[in-house]
Amino acid sequence: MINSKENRKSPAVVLVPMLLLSLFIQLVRLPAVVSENRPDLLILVILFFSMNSKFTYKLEVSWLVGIILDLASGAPLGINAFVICSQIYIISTQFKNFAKYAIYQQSIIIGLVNLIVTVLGYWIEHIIGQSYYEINFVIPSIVTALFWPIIFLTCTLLCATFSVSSDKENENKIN
Amino acid sequence: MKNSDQSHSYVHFRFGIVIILSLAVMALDVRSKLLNDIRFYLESALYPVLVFADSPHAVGRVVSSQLKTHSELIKENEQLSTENFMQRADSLKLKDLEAENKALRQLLNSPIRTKNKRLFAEVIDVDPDPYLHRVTVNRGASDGVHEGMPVITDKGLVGQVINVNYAFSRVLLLTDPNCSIPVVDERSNVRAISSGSGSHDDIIINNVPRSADIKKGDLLLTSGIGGVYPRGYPVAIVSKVGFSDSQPFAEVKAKPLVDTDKMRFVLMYWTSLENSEDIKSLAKEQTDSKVILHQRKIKDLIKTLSVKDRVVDNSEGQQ
Repeated sequence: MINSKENRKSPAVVLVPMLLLSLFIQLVRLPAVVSENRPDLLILVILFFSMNSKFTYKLEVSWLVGIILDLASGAPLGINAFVICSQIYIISTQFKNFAKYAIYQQSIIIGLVNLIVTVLGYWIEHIIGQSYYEINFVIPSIVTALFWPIIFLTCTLLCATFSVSSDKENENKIN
Repeated sequence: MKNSDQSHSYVHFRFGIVIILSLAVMALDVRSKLLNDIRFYLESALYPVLVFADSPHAVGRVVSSQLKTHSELIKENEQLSTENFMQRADSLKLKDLEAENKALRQLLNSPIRTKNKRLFAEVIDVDPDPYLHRVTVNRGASDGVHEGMPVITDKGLVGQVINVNYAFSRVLLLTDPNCSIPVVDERSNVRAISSGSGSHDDIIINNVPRSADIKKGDLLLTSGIGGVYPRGYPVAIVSKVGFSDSQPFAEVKAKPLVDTDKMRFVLMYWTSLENSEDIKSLAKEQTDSKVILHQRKIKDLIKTLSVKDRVVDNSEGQQ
């Protein structure tokens, strides 16, 4: 049993493929109605790993992923990096017991933080000259919140399948 | 406890750095365009990602085309043959009109547009940001595409190229609020500027006087003013003309002719003037002669003023 715990793999085994898949879903061409209300899967995936494992460089990885999304989508460089980083930072520092909350509570927090940071992002985009003209912020945030249980379960399942180490196990090891 | 506090302050510090970096990169990218070259290479490297992201759509297209029945294909073929025949007949007339237009322009000593190059391109991606109306097409700097090129379809104007990479480029659609197009009413020749409204269904015609002769159903064409869009391409049909006592201008909306949501192929279009050097020199000459005329007028004015002053001085001296 001890050996199996020691043989646990790095979170990157699941994180990297999940990030690539999320990036693909963020970029894939969808009908206009679906595209407007697309969930922020990249944030959800990074958030899962930042809460559930020793993911030290979560802010740096968020920033890098955001930059890649900016480049691939043609958005002003840095805007998605800012939005993703801010959400990860707010949730990880302001909700210290986030991992212990019930899934529905986590969804509500994610939805609210996503809404606030998205509005902030559009505000910055407006300042730098990229005008916006619709107030369709609420529905994408609700969709993102609703997708959290799916991402949570998927990532938990994948981590269990690929024997990825988690926080609790690491704490037990130290103790 | 100390360790946790330290790690938290360390997170704040890292977040601060990351945010400053994001804002700096944003400012450099949007305002100073210093990162244009880096962006060009990085985006070109990411082209396979875009192609891969478009693959479900492409597969869907291939499958739907493969699943067409034989009778459907025969029907489509007949329809296309008929259209082709009609268009060939129209092109015969067009050649005659082109020759006539060229002759008339020569008589008027106007620049002759003859070399219109068109480049066929396919839409490979739509901007995932719902607030930006842009599409990505599979032609880039390697095909001679440049920023500002107008993009059209068989139905009308689509927009213009705003960003060029090695293998692909991004097109700003006419429905985007950042896109303004000089238009002219085909019926009344009233000039105006159209701007995107953010909706795919209509564009706004700005600052039209209440007395302007624009009616519902009028066809709006590109006016050619500004030199970006060639003259005479259909843009939209006026769908609403409203007046309000509180507003100094009429509220005019138009429906774009191109369905930007559904378009698959586009033509990237650029014009080059024949004997451009001659035209440049002619334009310069005209400008120079205007300047000379203006200078002569000023000299005459100074002369007349100085003569008047002398007369006044003389009369004062006599008194």
